[in-house]
Amino acid sequence: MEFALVLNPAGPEPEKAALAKADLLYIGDEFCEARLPTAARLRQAARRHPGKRLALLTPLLTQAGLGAAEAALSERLCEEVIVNDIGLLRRLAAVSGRRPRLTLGRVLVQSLQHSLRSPFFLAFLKRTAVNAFEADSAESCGYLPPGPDYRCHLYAPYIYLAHSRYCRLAGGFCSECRAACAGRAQPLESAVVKRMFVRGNSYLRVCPEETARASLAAGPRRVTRLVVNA
Amino acid sequence: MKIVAGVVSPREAEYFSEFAEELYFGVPQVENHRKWYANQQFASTAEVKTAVRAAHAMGRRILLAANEIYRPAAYAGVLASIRRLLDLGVDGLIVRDLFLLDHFTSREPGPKLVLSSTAGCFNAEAARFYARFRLARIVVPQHVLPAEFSPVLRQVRGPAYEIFYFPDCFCPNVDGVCPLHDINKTESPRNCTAPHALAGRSWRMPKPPWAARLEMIRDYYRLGVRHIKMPRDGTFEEKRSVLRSVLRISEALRAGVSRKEFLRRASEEA
Repeated sequence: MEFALVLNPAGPEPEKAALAKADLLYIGDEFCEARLPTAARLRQAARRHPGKRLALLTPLLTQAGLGAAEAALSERLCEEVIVNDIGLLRRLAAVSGRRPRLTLGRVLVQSLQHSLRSPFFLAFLKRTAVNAFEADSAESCGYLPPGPDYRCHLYAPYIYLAHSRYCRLAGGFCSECRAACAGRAQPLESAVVKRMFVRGNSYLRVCPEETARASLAAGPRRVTRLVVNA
Repeated sequence: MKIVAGVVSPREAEYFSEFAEELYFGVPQVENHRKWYANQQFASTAEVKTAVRAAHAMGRRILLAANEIYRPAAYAGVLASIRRLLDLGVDGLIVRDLFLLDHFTSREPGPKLVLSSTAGCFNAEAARFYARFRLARIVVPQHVLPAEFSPVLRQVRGPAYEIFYFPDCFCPNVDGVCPLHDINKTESPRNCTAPHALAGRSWRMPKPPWAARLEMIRDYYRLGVRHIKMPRDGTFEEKRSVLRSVLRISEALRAGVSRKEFLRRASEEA
């Protein structure tokens, strides 16, 4: 099982032990395109973490965000892209020749749901050689195509619930915002959802790593990576 | 603006056919984005038949909201239900499911297809991904600003585009991926508008203020978007009030008034 760590420039510095253990570092954001890294920031990360493999984590994208994601990938510092936008998936899947490995992220999995197992999409996956998905709950794992041909990356401790492009901290839609908004997740007391948290523009539930592993270890999906998003 | 009105009964279909270019509705046998609200579905096939007749008598089209995503095991049942409704004269589908989009493009072409806002089409590449399905229209997601969406309108010209009447319908979270409306599985979940507590204070999930949502309509109109959707939610009286607002802003948009004057006219009591 691989171990990946989501680097959060606005959050606390990851523990050295966790960093040392990580096979792969995720740089970017699943929920906000204003937090997409530039190529310069990726270079900096590559220098700071020599020997570590890098993956670009991307959100749902506007047209400008699509351009920013492509610019970040221009120097080929990332061996993998976590894709959460169907447009970015279409664009990168069409690249002939060498391209980063593509993984469908949690937001796109939540968006396409059972369509991931439709004949149309299975043919798309085969044609484009995309075979990895990210999930974080029994429900989201249930959307994924089963079988040994597909790999599942599992998140802990935070399960994705929802996100807004109307940022609570910026007080508006904020494509230009670079504020350090996504520090620690704060508990949100709710009569609706137990153990809900808010971080930046996202709403999360908590699922400890042990619970995630235990609930999915016996499942039919091939879980090949644990992604820690603390 | 060309009005697309959500209706929940033959009476509403008859009334709104006078003003709307197109109607849409849901039925319980085909899950849709209001599936927990029994009062937002037609109660019977007989009601659908009457509504179709009323719409067609006025020269209007009427579409089925089939805008959820269906399990592969349910495909046969969903298709059978949809075919029965198409046989009654329903003109098309509002859809996001890739199986349905593919099926009604390549296997049984004919029904008019409108891509639901819940598909999350935020950029031109996404629009191109979906445009292969012979879409008549794409409903613009609520969480993309007109300036952000203008490249899509310029670059992908096959389908027409539609926006919601934002003052009445604007989700706090990105629609299509937010499961909050599904969590309680009740007719009135209000999960995303309920007060929560953050750091000991009452707190609600934020969304743009009313005036900003109105301005988005004006900006989309100026970019060429001509379809506006009135949601199914609300009583008949509430929907008539929304209709009056939509007609008033449509008139202001046609007149090309300034932003300030547009907001003034739009703010008049319905």
